[in-house]
Amino acid sequence: MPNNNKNNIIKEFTIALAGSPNSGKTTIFNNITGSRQHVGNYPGVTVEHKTGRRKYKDYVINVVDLPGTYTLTAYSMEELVARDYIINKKPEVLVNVVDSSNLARNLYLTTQLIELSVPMVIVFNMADILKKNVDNINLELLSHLFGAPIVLTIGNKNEGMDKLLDMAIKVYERKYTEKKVLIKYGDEIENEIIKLENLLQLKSDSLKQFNFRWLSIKLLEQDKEVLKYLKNVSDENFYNNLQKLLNNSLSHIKNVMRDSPEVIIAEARYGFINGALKEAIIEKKNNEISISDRIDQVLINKVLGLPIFIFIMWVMFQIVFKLGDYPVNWLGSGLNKFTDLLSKVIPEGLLKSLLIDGIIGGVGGILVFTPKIMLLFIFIAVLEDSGYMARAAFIMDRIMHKIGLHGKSFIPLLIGFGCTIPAYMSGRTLENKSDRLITMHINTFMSCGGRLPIYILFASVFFPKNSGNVIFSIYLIGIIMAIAMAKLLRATRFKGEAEPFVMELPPYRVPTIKGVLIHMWERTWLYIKKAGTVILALSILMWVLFTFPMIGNHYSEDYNLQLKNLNNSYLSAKISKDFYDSEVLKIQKEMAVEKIEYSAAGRIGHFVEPIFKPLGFDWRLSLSSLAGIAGKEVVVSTLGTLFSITKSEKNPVDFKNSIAKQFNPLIGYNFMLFSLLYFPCIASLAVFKREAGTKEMIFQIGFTLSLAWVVSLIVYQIGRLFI
Amino acid sequence: MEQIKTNFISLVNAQVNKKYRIEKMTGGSFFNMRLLSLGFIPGEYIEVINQYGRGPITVYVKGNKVALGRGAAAKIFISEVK
Repeated sequence: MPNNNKNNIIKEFTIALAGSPNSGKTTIFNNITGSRQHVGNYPGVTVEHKTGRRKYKDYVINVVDLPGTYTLTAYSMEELVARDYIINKKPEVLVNVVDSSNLARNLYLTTQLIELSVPMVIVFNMADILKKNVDNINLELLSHLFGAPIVLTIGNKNEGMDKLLDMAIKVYERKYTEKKVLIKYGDEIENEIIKLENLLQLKSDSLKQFNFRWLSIKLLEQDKEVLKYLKNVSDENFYNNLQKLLNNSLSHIKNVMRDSPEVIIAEARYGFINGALKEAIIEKKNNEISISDRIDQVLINKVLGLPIFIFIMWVMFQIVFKLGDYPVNWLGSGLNKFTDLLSKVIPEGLLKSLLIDGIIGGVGGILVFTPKIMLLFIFIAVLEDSGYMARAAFIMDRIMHKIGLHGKSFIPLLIGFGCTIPAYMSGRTLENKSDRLITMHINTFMSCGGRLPIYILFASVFFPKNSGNVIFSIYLIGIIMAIAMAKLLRATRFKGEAEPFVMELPPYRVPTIKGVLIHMWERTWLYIKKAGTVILALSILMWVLFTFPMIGNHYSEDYNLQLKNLNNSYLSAKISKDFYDSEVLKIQKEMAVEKIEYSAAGRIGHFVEPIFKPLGFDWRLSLSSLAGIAGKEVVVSTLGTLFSITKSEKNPVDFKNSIAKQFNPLIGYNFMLFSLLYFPCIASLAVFKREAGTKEMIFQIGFTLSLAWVVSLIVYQIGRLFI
Repeated sequence: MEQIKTNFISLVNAQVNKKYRIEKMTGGSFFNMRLLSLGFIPGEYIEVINQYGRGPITVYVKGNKVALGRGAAAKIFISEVK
């Protein structure tokens, strides 16, 4: 049908969602894109880049979820990323999501977005709350005043999404146009803006993507990034002129207005908002105490706040570690069955060993922990989405401040008890770089789940009666170390005060299941991906090191002959079955030990033994610690290989006995301590590098290794005097 | 250092449940920008809801609840609204 042709052309365009962190922006993003999302990082920074697609009517709409920001300054990485995206990528339509339960504050970002002169739709989200708060609202007038159409949505009820998309299309097709709005900042500021604009005009070739008025306002706000950018794109002469002009402007404004330009500019913006709201909205009078306030009266109460917080954390750990045990055990036994099946199907040989010992042993061991990780992330997502996380930071700020950290440092440290990798990632909420780096560096000492098997093994071997207390003491030492090292790092490498603590306490909200699941899955996927890549590669490497070079017939004695003789004796009934079995086991063990000693891993173990000798560790403990670089779970499995040996006869009691015979309680405790203090695993280092750069990662390696070595040395050498 | 008028007090010394007005913000421009975006602005009313021991305080400003560390609060000067 020829007359329908026009409608069949699919058009594609991009909308970008901008809004403050608690505006419900992500919920709207999830509503629009469903599960067709892609999460990545913006190049070079650790800010998440979320994109999705939606086919709607005759359009394919690409949706970008910009990081949540209160403003477009250079205060945090998120803000920089958001504004760079808008300026450089120029989305066809900018969608500004506004929490309409608090318009006066949330429209502050809007006043800045309209200055970027990108076609925009303003979304008043949580319109149900808005309707409760106001008697009447004139949306048409407000749209007119802000120069962009306003649509109402209720994100958590999935209402108004089509209206939003229809409006975005209208704006994209230029079928909806409002007169552009300029916010006036008063004569003094406006004069300086014009002067700056005129100067910038000279460089218009290299500043094509910018709106000069916006640039000038940013300069008056003393935005460091804008200044840096201008320095980079301009010659010295121009930059010097610019700086001279700017300094004059700044001091002129300060003299005349008796306040800094950024304050005056903000005043004008809020003034603009207040004026607009007064004209278009009739507010209800209400002096009721909101539900959020009532909840806060309990949750951040001076007396109850901390105990409640501790209780919530306790519940979280109980659920994650106790309840999580079940699915982890199911997965574990499932994996065992799979391994058994596999070992029956695949013929003996190197391939089988690689598959079962190397890959399944390494990667599978990590993957079975996934349910616990999922539970942990569900919990964290609920705490975040409900608004409690901000309160937790608030409650902990006083305590964290004493050790030179920020209230927000607490959450990463807490997650560190589960797994260090998500802990590093959650450090992103810290805006200040020093705060973030210190938090990351000391996170190692928050004993992660992977180390627990080591403690359980050694505590039960050497301190069977007090194993609980001994394990607790290790955790405690970790915390003490973290505090001490935080202070040390603050005093040496990261001088200066912790960032002043300023944080919004958003109203409490009931988290949506969809939102929680999406958050959980994003983070869990990173964990699984890590197991599939880094750990897979390392497991194969470890296997190679433990397998090659192969011993062949380089055994110190002819064990095979001995076995043959033994077999003959047994067959001719010279020895009993029991004696035969135990002798065979003995020989098999010796063979296995020699096999490992002959392998590259064994040689490395012997090679590094002198370094560990002063700590009381023999080559086997040294080797296990080295293997622990791949993941602390590997320490126990390596010890298992070194001590109990031979797959067919893996007898845990025997394993423990041989460890008990070889070492004493002092060495046992010291080994736990050493395992606690050095960096968690290679995968965590990879994340550390991504989050903080190569230099900091190398520092982390050196710092934790030397600390672990020195502390263990002191403990062993002093402890030796007493036993 | 600018002189702060004597009848202005620092937010740290504010009392719970009294009404104040923001008069002066003495932090650097970087820090000010953060506060401004959260609704702290000269002339705006502010109310202290909670003093958490000697730790951070929570205030109401522009319809928002914000937690401030003592270091941050010390840089905001206010006067009481009678």
